Amino acid sequence: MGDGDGMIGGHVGKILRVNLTNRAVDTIPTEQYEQWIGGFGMAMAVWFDEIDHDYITDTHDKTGFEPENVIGLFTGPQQGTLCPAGSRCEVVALSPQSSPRPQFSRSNFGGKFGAFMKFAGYDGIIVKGASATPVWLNIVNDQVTIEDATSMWGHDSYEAQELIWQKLSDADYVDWYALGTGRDGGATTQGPAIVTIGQAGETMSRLASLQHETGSGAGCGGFGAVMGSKKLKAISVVGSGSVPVADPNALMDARMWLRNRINSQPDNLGAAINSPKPGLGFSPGWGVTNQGRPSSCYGCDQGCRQNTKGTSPDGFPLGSGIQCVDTYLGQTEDKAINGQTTDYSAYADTYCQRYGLNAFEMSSIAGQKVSKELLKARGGTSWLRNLWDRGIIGPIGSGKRVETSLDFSQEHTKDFIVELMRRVACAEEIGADIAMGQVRCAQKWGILEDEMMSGRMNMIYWGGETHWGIYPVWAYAGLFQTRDCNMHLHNNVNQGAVANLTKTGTALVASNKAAQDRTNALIALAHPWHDPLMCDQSETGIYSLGMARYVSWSQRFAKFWRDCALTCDQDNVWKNFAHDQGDADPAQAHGLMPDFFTKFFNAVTGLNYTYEDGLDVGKKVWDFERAILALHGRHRNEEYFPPFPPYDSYVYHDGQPYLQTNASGGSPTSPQVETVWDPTLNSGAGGYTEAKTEFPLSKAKMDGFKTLFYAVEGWDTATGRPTRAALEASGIGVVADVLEAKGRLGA
Amino acid sequence: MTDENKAPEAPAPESTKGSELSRREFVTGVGGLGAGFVLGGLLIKGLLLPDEAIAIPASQGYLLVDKTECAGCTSCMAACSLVHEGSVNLSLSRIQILRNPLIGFPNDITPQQCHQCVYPACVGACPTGAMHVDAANGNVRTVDEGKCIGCERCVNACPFTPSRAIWNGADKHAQKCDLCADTPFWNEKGGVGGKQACVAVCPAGAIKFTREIPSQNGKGYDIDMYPTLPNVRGWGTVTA
Repeated sequence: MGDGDGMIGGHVGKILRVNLTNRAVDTIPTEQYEQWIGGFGMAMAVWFDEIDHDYITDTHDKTGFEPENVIGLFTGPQQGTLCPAGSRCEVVALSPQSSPRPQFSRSNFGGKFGAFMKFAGYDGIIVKGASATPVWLNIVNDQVTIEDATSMWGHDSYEAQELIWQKLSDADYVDWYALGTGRDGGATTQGPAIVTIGQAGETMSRLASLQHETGSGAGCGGFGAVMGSKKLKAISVVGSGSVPVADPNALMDARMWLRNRINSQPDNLGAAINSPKPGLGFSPGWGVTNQGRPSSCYGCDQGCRQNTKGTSPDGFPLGSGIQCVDTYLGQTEDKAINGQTTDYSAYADTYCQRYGLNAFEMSSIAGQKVSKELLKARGGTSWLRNLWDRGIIGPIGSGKRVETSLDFSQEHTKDFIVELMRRVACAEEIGADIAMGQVRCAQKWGILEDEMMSGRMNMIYWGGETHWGIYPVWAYAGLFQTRDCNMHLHNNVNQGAVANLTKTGTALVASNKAAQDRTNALIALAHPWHDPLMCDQSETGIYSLGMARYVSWSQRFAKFWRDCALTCDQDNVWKNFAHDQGDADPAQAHGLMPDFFTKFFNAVTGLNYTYEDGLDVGKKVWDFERAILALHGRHRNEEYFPPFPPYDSYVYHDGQPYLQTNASGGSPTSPQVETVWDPTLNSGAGGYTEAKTEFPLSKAKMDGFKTLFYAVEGWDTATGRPTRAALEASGIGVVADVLEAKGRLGA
Repeated sequence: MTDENKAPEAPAPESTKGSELSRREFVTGVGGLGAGFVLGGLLIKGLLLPDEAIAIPASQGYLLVDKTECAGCTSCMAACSLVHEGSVNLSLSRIQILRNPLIGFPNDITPQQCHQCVYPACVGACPTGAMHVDAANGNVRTVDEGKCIGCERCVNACPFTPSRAIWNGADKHAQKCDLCADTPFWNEKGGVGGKQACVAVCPAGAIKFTREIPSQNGKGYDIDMYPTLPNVRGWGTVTA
């Protein structure tokens, strides 16, 4: 790091390893994995070394609940410093949510946990085995103990955190308190950072999340259930250590550069250049009962959350600290039914956090936050309500296929939604089925094929709900890994620019200057190809070499600059490919890229990476991940929309629209939030316009596209699996050895 | 007196420990001047300076915070330790943001900055003069680390919770907010004549530097930075 200790700046030197079966606690030097930098890459590398390779080979007969599963929580070098989104934390494990079989997957959360892990002296935490009784992990600097969690088992995520706060120090945390013995043992005023599961994790619901504070959470993957299977209720971490920074002056300069560029002001906190939601950031509010302040994750300049005054009857905050997708379970339906957001939204969103449920999936199951097409197929209601209306679900004694004491005619009351989620989290009655996730629930009810073919379910991400509006690169990226790739950092291009492109010969011409500028900016940053046709989303373009390159580039970018260096996907939206409204300078179309990434990363790490260097590491990470999927059994023959043979033979009927190639939506006031917008159109209605293009997908053309894509990645085109050459080029020849021994190596 | 030595009227100091502070008035750098002396346009009333009193010059700089604007990001804490220590460590930050996410607004987030007290108990408590008034840096109350013997009387003397004087267990000395007078890891001039890292970095603009002595009645350091914005943001109804 410049001081001769050989450590990358931002690393604190240790990875904590805990075995809950034999209660062993030790550490691994971070230096052994520093080539992966941090976050997802480092988590994956450690996970791969710590897990039994036989356990993850051909996972069709696994659940993810076995003690052999390993869960990792890893932060990055930039966390716990002065970088924006300064506390992200990646979570990895074999995912029980994945369908048709568990697969290695990832999730991520913010708040302050990642930063506090660093202050305690850890770059990551890996947990193996399983405890026979409920426990929580207590990390105070280098003192790590496995504590009895019997008294907090059965409590929700807010209650569990408070119980731990009360154990560790004064519950109010208003003064300095000692973290060790003697005055040099460290002290802090800060309460511990706690990640916990709600009841949903305890009952091993595949919809179970990891929860942190009131509204941070790792929702995708069902990793809360992995913790629950290990009887691990919570991990608490607090420390008084320092996070080293290679060039502190440069870091402060970078922060000032960002501050000046973003021009944050309190009435615009959370807004960045060209943010479509100036004001209180990304957090929609609800009703008249909640008032408060904008609030932020550790170190972040965006303030995309809000802390509110409202309280639940038991005194915990109501609707506080919750943002983005976690506010959509209640809000969309609330607006649709009540014309405004009310306490219904506050209770729905809050108790989803408290019970520890995947808000994204719950909003599809029990809400209306889905794509326009899905909502239409469901008759304008939630999935469950549609099943009730169609007589699939009925009252007790009705003789319907599924019986419940819940009265779905009262669906839009807060008592209903809270009770529904309680039953899911506690695996009671109808909740026990829903807790398996939509796919397995529909399978059990005998309606999966009908729901999929009717368009009422759209589970294109290996058991995960499709994002509510997607563009091809997003859809493909999810297909080639294990989950919704959640790539908002490209929104400003794909929604505002790419949608307005027309192919003319070998060039793409935009209908307006802003769109053209952004497209050109993306191409300029699309290392290593810089292919102008990468943005071609026409009926032929979606199967083209350009699209294959776009998918590859997008994942190299996401896997490194988002998931290893570790930045926030939502924060990145406002900094990337933005184009100042009214700014005629095309040089501004790149937003803050790539400086936003390299300035902070290099100031902290001292590695002097170029933006392209990061993409090259991203390629290594992508190859490694693909190798693990090959080990599970992944083959090109199953990579279709949706990935559930034998249904794929139905999906590709001629004229069967399946994939939206552009996010389609209505005006900004419509219930469907996803919009395609162009800031320079003078429509007189805020510059929003609807762009839509829906093409029926051709299975034969998909096959051709996949061959192109695998070739771009250097993977075996016959199987889609990484080759030895590709893995060795990425410096992970040892992974090729494992694949070869298991018969999973690409030829 | 030159302009540099002028100061507004020293308001009644906070009575935080039932001391005699409330009955005394101090004037910057002056002892025993008579009534009616005018400084900076303000009339200094009734100077009663006992013979045994030591005139402690008031700081020429103070931090004010808007507690309803603070977003709890603790960037100020990170920046403070970064520019002073060269690394990030919230336990070494000279400004502390208290957070409890399980409490609703407005007690969820409470910034706690050093008041650069007009009567600095930390300075008074120090037996070696390590904690002192730095005349070369606008009378900021700060620690001469070389003189600190680690008795922590300054830490105990601070009338506020949490103590603004803190113990640096790694480097073995006390430290406190110096308004960035000594920030070797920042390319900006700090101190009362320069910038403060916490002020500069705050995304919410919730911290302000001022040269005017805040009222010492316990509320002078809280400020409504943006009077045209509501202190409590109401989201109201959101129509479809």
